[in-house]
Amino acid sequence: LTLVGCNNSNTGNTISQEHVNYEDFIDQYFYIQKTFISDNFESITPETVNFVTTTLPSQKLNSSKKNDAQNEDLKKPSRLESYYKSKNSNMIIKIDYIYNEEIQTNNFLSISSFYNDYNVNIKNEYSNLNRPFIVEHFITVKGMLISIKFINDVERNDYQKNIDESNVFYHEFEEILLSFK
Amino acid sequence: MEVSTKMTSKFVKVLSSAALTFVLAFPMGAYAATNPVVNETTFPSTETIINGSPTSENSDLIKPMDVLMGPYFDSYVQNYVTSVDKFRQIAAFTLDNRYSSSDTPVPMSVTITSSTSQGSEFSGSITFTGEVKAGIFGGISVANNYSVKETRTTNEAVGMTAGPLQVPKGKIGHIDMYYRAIQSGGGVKTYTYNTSNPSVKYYTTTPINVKTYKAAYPDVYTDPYLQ
Repeated sequence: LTLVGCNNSNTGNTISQEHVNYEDFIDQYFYIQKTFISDNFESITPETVNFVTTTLPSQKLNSSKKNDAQNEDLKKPSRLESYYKSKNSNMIIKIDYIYNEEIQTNNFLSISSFYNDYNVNIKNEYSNLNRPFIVEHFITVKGMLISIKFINDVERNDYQKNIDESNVFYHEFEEILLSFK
Repeated sequence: MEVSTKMTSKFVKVLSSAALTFVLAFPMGAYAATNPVVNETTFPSTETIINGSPTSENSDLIKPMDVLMGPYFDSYVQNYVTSVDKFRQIAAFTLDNRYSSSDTPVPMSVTITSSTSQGSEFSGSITFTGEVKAGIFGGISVANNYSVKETRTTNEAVGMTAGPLQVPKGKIGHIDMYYRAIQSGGGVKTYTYNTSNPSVKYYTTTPINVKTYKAAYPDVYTDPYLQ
């Protein structure tokens, strides 16, 4: 079968070799799942990982996109996830890995804090709104955005303890990220 | 010295008891004439105790030992066969349709793009050697008229599809995919024999249960559901 305009030596490939292809993203995820073993945190994600895709609300950013799958192919989730549980506290950790072939650099972007005593940018009259403890790390490595959420329901005195624990997790997790090529 | 004295007195006791036996066994008239023989008959029995067993028996000890051989597979008799739909999970897909603005259900179709190798499961009070497994598989094939195999290899399920599952707005659709197994229960007949007499076989039947795979194609069970 010969299609006019198509041949094997397609030179119009605009994706440079620097880009991480989707299969590598999947491989890196499973590499982390297998390799990351900690004395302080246990994986609570089953071995058969569920490939989750989500239909998007109607949106005009890229209006043709109906779901978050890679090329809207439901067997190719753009986001993979995993959960861990602290062995030393009630902290639960959720990691989201979001594929983006354009991300080129390893970068610790930011940390977002959210808990009862943290009232920066909340009006005084709303500072008593009850909130769970959520600390979120935003990280990029080649081909993906990684969000790590540390979630707990903690007493007032234990915020720093939980923040310290999130740092312990990060440093252990970082070892795996650094082992990527 | 003390040990020596005890030994001596013990020896005297043995001698005297032997003599007494002799005295009781023979008529008084014979006693005087055979008296020197008492020592001779007593001495060899002492030697027997020291050596543990006669020289004639010792020569037997260096012959090849009689060895129990086996167990070896003889046959497998299947008592029942069933199907286990959710034997080993291959893949799981989820489509979360709760955020959608559209009222139209979303058709969810999936394809397996990678799969890991998955083994069988044997249970029973027997050592499942290669020979025993092969024998059981042969028995299953004959009993059911299809062949089975122990392992689904890596990526064997690639390309298997499922769906479409219509996922309405506000629902989460799930498609779980499993390798279906056949479960065969029955008795494995094995035998043992002694090398001294190989023609006499001792048979034992051990109940076993095996969950394994049809060889012909990757038999995939699909479980679609809404949440």
